[in-house]
Amino acid sequence: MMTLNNIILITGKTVLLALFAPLVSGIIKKIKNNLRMRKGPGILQPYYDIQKLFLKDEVVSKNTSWIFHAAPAIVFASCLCASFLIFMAQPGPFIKNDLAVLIAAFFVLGLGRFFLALAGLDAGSSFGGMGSSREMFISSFAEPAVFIAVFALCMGAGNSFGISRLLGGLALLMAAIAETSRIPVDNQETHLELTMVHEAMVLEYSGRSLALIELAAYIKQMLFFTVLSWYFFIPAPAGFAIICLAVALIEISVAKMRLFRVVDFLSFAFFIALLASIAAGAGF
Amino acid sequence: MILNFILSGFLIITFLLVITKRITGLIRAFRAQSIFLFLYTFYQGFTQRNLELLVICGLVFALKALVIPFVLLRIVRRIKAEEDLGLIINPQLSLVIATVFAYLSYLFAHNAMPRANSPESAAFIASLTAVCIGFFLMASRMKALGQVIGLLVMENGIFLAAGAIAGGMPFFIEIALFFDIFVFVVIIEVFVYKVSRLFTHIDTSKMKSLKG
Amino acid sequence: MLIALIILIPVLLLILSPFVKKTRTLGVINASGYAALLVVCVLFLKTFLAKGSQAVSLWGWVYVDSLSVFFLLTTAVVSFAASLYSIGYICTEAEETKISGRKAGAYFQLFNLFCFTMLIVPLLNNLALVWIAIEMTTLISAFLVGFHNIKESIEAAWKYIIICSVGITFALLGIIFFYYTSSRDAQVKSLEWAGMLAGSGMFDPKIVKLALIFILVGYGTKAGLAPMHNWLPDAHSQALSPISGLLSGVLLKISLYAILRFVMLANLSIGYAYSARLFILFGLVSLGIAGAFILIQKDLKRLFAYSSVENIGLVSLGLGFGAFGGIFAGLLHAFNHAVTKAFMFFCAGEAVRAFRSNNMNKMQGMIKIMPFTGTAMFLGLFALVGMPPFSIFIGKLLILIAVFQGKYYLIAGLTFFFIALAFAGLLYHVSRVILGNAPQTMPAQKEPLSAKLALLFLGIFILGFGLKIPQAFLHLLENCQLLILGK
Repeated sequence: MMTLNNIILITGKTVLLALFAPLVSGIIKKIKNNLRMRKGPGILQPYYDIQKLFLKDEVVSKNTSWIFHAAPAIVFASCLCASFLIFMAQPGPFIKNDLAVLIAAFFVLGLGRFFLALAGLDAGSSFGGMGSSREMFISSFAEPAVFIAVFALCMGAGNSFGISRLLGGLALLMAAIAETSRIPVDNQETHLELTMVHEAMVLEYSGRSLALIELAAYIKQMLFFTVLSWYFFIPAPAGFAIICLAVALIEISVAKMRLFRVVDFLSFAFFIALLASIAAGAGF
Repeated sequence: MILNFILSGFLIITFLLVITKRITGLIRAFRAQSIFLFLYTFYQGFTQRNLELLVICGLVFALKALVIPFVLLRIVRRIKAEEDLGLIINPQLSLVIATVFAYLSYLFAHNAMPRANSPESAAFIASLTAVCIGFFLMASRMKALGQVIGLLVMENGIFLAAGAIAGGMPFFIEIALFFDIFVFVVIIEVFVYKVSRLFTHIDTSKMKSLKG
Repeated sequence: MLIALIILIPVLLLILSPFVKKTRTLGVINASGYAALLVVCVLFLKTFLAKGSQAVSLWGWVYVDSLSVFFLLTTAVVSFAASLYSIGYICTEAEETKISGRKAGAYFQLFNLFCFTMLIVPLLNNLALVWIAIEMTTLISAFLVGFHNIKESIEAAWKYIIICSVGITFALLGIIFFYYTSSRDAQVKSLEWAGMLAGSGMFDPKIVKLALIFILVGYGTKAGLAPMHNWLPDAHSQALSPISGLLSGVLLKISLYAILRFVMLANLSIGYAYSARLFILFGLVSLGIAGAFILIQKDLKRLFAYSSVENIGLVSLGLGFGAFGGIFAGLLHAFNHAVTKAFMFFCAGEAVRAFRSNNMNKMQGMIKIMPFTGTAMFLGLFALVGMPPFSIFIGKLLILIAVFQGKYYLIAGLTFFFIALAFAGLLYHVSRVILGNAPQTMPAQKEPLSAKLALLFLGIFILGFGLKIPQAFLHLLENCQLLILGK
């Protein structure tokens, strides 16, 4: 039942999530830099970046259509909408009933991605098209893994640290790495023509639109981390801390894969998720 | 809970084996699997305060995690084999097959074991999955070393099965089995050298002089 | 005491062999050792029967009952013949500088090790140790299969070692299932024979059924049952001829022994019908596949190898009709086949050496080039295809009688058909080798004396058992039958 109280609570959570999302990204960057023995920017740097982008003028290509202008708003809105949906689910023993909501949330995220990919194609630049096609290629493998992992989460309700939870958590973590364009699937930190995926897709954007897209990406990352922390019934802040550390460790310890190796990576995630749902069905 | 971590790790590594495309990667994955086997035995020995199991887990570590990977890696270095394993079935399809194996093992264990939901049952399923995947590796990898590792994976699975359903074999038998595996690896080493010297490769799919 | 001697003789020979430099002397010492072993085994059989066939259990390690004695005897007979044949074979190979003196020494060491592992299998008390001993037979004989270090033989050895190890790994899984049910349901926390036999009534039938499948597939690979027989023709054709005889004559039977042990346990817990069905299935498949492959063979030793698959299939079929006297027939056939097949491989070894080829199209007119071996092979061929008065005839007849008594007419018909296939194939191929036109340039060859002696020795068994089977042996077989049926 959606009471008013509930709606206020969920809205509050979403706002909080949006506020803290850039911070988490900043923390991961800081951990990575510290592990690499570098000083690096402060953890608040993402906020400064977004502020800077909001203040800047936009440069838009003449060849673009309405999609290019609408996409940032749609992406941002879809992320917010997804976070609403995700907070409607109740982590814990009763999550089984909330499978539909979670699936819907990830589908809404998919909508945002679809428009972003269209926008990447819209400007007609070579990088945008390349980025879009790669993004769709990767997500076509990542999304099934996410869905099956969420399915396993809901099926194995009430079984913290069971085998299904551990396997499903790993699968979702792998998929989340792909979805948040991190190493070894993508690299947020470079604009290297040959390898960039997400960055290539949003290359045409600047100013306020770019700020919205970046913010949306931070929120999406937070959503994945939230669901991941549910896997083990860890309270959100501690869960975020552990996940940040894990992601940072993975990012600095492995090399980026070739694009076709990503298929193996993500299909591995998919089948681990499938194994998790088998385990959940068997009650482990 | 710790047992769940160990078994999940074992299963994940077992699945990792089927998508590995390089010989050295396969050997490292085998080593990781053996380490999980060691952890499992250690946990059992520690919680049951069973000295024999602790000795056995030490042997698992020494033999399967140290000696055998070392010997295999030395073979790879000496024969300067190509890294490629020669997959007959691509990684995605292999994963499908591995998942089917896991499901069949579950059905099998579900029918054969009375207490379907216990940790022993989970370990038994993981072990049967490892046996099947080991067999699958042997059948679907062209390189001789891939087949050897497939066999060792099967052996690991059986070891886990023994630990899971029967609480381990009698102590003396376990020691004898280790000896047997050790001899097997040593003899296999000799034969891999012979194969690579005579054929100048270790690709068993190209060994076709005997037919009919 | 006698059992200790059985174990000690191969060990002593093994220790002795590095100190003898001359190949011929080494071979003669070896052969006399195995002659002593045979005598010991026969003496043991006598005392064993005199004591009323009571199972003997010694030092906690050894357990001997009628079944063990039967397999021990088979091993002793064939390994003596093989050691005798080896003298001439290895010396000739050394003279033709195919192998160096050092390698000849290595051959005898491996031979002794191989025979040692095969001899201890029927003696061991612990089923897991039996498993280990059988795995050791694979690992050691792989060196003998790949002895020549040429491409074909190494390929055969590789296939042999890998396929048999996989098979036997499945058997280990089966053993673990047996251990599981015996420790859970019967509270017997060991794999020792007496304990398991006593507890077998309480085993969980479901698990026993599963375990038996693994055991049959696992050890069946080693025993050469189709469709797991792929290693067999390669290994048999590439091994040295005395070793081919040992592989076909003894190694396959030793795995059969391991299967029978578990079948005995299973019979006591779930009754005979289940294992019988499995035996019949594997037996018919082996017969069919072997029959087809025998027809299209070009290689003499591969032909005999497939004939081994066929005969193992027959033995298995016999064991499947155990309720109608089939076990007696099957074991008798196993012994007869061991002797006859060793005989044929020794003949083939001489032929291959004379013609320097395994290809039957290039081997014609044996009887003109080597009159003795040619004649022997001709007679052996009749024995092998099951003509009276040779021993295999009786075994086959008894097996067929058992099938008919079971009133499985379809199976009987199929068996007849497959036997006829093998009959035709063997007769056609081998008689061409023996009687065809010899190449003009080929001079007459002489066989070594030891080869003749080995053939004569085996010939006595082939003909003798065809005419009259010794009373003691019959008694032993009957005891085996009772044991396996669990009565």
